[in-house]
Amino acid sequence: MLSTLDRERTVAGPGFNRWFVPPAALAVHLSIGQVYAFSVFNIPLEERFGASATAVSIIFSISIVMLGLSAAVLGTWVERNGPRKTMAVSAALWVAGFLVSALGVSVGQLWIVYLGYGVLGGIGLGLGYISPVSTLIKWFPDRPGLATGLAIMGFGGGALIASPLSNRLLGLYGGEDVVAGLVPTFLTLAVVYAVLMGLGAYVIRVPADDWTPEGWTPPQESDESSMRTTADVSARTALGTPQFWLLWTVLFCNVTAGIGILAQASPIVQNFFPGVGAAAAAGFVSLLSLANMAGRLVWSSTSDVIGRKPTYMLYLGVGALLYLGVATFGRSSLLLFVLMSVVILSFYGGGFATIPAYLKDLFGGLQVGAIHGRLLTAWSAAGIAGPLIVSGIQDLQTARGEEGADLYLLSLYIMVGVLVVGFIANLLVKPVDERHHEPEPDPDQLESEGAPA
Amino acid sequence: MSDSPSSTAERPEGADAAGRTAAVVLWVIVSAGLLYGIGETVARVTQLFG
Repeated sequence: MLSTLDRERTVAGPGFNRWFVPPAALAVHLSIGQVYAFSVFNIPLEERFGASATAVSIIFSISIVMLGLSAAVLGTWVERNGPRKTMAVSAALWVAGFLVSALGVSVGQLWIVYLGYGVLGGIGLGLGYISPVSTLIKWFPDRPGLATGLAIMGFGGGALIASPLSNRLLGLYGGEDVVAGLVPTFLTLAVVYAVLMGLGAYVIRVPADDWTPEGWTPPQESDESSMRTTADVSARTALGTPQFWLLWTVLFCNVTAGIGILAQASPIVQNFFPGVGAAAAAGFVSLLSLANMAGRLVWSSTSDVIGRKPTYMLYLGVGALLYLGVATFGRSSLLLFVLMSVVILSFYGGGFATIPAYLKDLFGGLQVGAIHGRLLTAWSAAGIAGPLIVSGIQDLQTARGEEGADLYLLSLYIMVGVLVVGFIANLLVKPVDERHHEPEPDPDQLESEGAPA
Repeated sequence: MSDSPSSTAERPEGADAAGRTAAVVLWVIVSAGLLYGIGETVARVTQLFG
């Protein structure tokens, strides 16, 4: 029974259409993308445990830290065992996270929720995030940006679905007493995600070793100008290259800038424009979520045409100009402020979605999932740095007696600097030196080791 | 460009049939889910300029 999860059992047969694979990736990413909507449960959890906002927000922080750690540590395991086993384990952990959390809520123990959603769910997040991405890259060697954009768009879309769905479930089960609705809501979400992720694991396939898209010929030589290599670099070796750390810096800077504004979007727009109320601010946050999701597909697909390095020059260079624009002209017009913020957040999403394709260009497809997993530690670090910069500066300015938009101007200028650092790091990216390349693979050895196609 | 493979591993015919059906079902589910999420979000976005 368990052998059906093995990588060898997921190799697609003749005539398999590669467009059957994206829904499997989307199913997993739409499920784990729920993490961005976890704040829906913050107030009911605070009431249930009589805990502070900080104590409850730690649940989310633990899950994001575990995402980064598990993706980094287990990336090689993911490549070795293939997507179906990884997605099944991811689903089991993600669902267990909800079940254990439901237990924690019912017995009134917050630490059980930390363990459930935070630790178990967080590991499920990390495994579920990287596995479909590397699989899609192998199915779309001709359009890796489109492939990664498709999968990672789901992660942004997951919150758009989970937020209204969770609110409805809380109301349905608890009525006015949303605390009473917590346990059945967690149990319902566990069932929904078990089915969705289980179907995804069932549908997922890997291409045969000799498979190529019809009409597409793999390049025989590396292209220096686009930096697309035909060689492969192992995950272990990649860590020792400057390219890995330059891309780590690029991702860190792009995410720090985006997450800084995303985490404080509602108070920022209300402070820039005092006429904007809480409901309108919620609309602004929703618009940014849409831009974040759309940017993942649109910009990542665009990178297939214009190249990965120019795409990041756009994210970081134009992004810096837009941040400068928000700080300088943002107060003059709500429409202008919203438009600039929307483009900034589309770049934020695009940065997430394009990075696996950039890694594939530089390091090849052999262990791109494992390398991607290690690079996601930049996300964890940025998840701490971005909000800390914005909220820290806000506290500082408040203590100085500043108010309104002035609370955020310094943060915006700092983000301009952060993006410039990322822009320079991207400029320095060059093709990986040949001495880091793996020797030509021996098919017999790959078969016996179960290495990925 | 066709998206069917030009070369694949040897597998019994029909081995992927159930998988293909499940993939179509999954396309419908994820598309419906995304439409639901986008619809709900757009409804909230209108509050910004409302």
